[in-house]
Amino acid sequence: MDKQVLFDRYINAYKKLSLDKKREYLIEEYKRTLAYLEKLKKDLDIHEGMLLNREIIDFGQGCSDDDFVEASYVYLKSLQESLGLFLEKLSVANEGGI
Amino acid sequence: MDYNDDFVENGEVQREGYKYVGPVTVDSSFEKKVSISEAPIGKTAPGKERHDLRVDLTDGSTTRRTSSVLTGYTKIALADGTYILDSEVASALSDYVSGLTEEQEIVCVRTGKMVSPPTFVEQVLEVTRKAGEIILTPTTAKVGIEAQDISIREEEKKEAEKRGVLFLGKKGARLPDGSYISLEELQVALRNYVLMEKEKEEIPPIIVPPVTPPKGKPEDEQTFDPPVTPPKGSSDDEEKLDPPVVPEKKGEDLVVVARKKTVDVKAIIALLFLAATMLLGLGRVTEAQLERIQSESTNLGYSVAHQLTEDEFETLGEAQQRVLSEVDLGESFPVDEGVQFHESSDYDSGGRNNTGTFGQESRPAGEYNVEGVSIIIDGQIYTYTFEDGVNVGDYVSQICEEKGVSIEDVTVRVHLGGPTSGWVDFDDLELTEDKTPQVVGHHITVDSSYKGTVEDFQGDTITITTSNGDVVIPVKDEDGHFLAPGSVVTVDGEEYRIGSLSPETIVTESEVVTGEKTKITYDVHRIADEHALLAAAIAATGLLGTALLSKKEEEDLEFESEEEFEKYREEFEKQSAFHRVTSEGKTIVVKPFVKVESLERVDGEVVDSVPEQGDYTPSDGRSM
Repeated sequence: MDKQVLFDRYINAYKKLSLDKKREYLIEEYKRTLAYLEKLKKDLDIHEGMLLNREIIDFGQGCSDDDFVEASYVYLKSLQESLGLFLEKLSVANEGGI
Repeated sequence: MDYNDDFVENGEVQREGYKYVGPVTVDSSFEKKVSISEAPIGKTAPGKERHDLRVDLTDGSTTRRTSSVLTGYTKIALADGTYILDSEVASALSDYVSGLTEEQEIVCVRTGKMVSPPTFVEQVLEVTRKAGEIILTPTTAKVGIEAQDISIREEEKKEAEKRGVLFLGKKGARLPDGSYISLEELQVALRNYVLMEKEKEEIPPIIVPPVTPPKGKPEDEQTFDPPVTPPKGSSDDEEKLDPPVVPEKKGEDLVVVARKKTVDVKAIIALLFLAATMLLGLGRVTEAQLERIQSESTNLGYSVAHQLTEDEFETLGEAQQRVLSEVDLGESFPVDEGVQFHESSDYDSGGRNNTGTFGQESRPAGEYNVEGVSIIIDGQIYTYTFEDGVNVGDYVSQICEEKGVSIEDVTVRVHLGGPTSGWVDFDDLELTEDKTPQVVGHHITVDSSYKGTVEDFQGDTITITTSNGDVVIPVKDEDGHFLAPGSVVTVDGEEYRIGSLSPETIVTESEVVTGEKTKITYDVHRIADEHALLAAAIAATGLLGTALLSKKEEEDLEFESEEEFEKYREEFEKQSAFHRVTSEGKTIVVKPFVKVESLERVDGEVVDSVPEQGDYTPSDGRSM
């Protein structure tokens, strides 16, 4: 089946979840991705650690919208930074590049 | 108590998935206690009420009363009751939370929300401290016996105020210096919480499974689909390197296994317990702080006089007047044997002088009435009276005034009544009044005066330098109050009169490093419960603590405007790797060199050998 179709089905199923569950899955996806990136960084001898912030602690069952958005933002920024380090390590400079 | 209605139903504490265990209690067998109770001391002015505080100190089973805190008519906002050492309370609370099991949670009755152990400890202490505190410190007074200064921080107030000195007596009853908080308030604070326990149920896995895990993957194997996989051969062989080999998922389910093939769930749990244990142990973060503090000192201005006191005696006339006043006509007085009597009161100045002595048969010694009084001036009978009830002293005084003579210039004789009687000298009467002049006052002269100021006055004495050397003058009473002007103190038999005592409080502000302060800054249980995977991933790198302890800095960066947010974002992006690689105009060439140990199927069979460690660069120089 076309990957896009599968993805659409998958997201439709996600839409039917309760708000708490949607939050939970979203955060877990962030965490999974971060954990994988972290492991890859280790394998690539990238020693710069993962950026974190205590706002992630505030996320939990029944947390407020504010807490959830803040936690999501922290995860996203942390993901970005890990990805940035990963890409830097996997890249070679050329003219105009980094 | 203000209950959360959703939490307390029909008077019972309820929470889904939890069962009520009981109230939160801590070991309250505190050894060191300070008890205060209102007990007025001294005289009370009409219509007023004194609020002095009685203070009892308890050390174990021994309780001793010590000095009262003299507040006078001022009511101090600190409840009567028992106060216990703040550090002992903190320790008892910490012991309590340390004893909780993993399934047990402290829940706030009012909000119905779980409260982490550190937050619980912090909140209970904060609430209890709000009710005020008693602070014992080493005394600054030179009292010669064991003593402690007592300060009181009233309810809702920030600063404590020194309230006097506790004299501990020879046996001593000294308690540890420090802050003492209300036992009753602690018990009230604890009633805001209950202990609940998670009902047994299937424990959800700590690692949330992937939303769409590949079929056939073992659950305990942490795997991922590689973005690229290394080709066979060396990295120099561009032909073989391009394109990268992507393992087929269908059929053989090839995966790249990273160095750590599996994530040991038990190990993660153990790690989390270790982290939680460490956090409990380190839950109190010690940090030095620079604080602006105020210190107070007292400059005491004084004036003291050395005084000489001389007795002031009555004059002979005054003494005579006093003695004469003892006799009223008509009263009887004892007359001894041998006392002479005369026929006339002026017998020694030419009057008739038939005479005899008491003790003879006709006039035996005994009680005789004083019938009359005669006043002789210059040998002549000036006047006399036989009127009952006349006070001899008043009569003589009146006559002297009338005649304009001194009482010492007149002779007073009294007539003793009887069948046969006579005039006798007044001095022959047996009177109780001492006829010699008596001390009627003191004459005080100031010998020397001393004035000065004692800077940073401490204790209860000042020292003045006299011609005979230094003299230590007490300037406080036994309750620690300065003596009132006019007070006289005796030192080595010499009297010193306090002219004035003018204490002036000097407040000095300074910034000091206050040393260690204890703060509870993070939440243990929620870390373990909610973020197992992330905690496991980062605990090993030592970042967990750094992240969790960053709250203070975050608070410092609180702002309201979006402009400020943008400013902080720009500052961050200057250091951001992601920003560097995604900036406009930047081009990067991906040079993948993922290190792979083996390429194998999920059933463990190695299907390909691992290439030599080395970098792998796609020949097409793919760019992002």
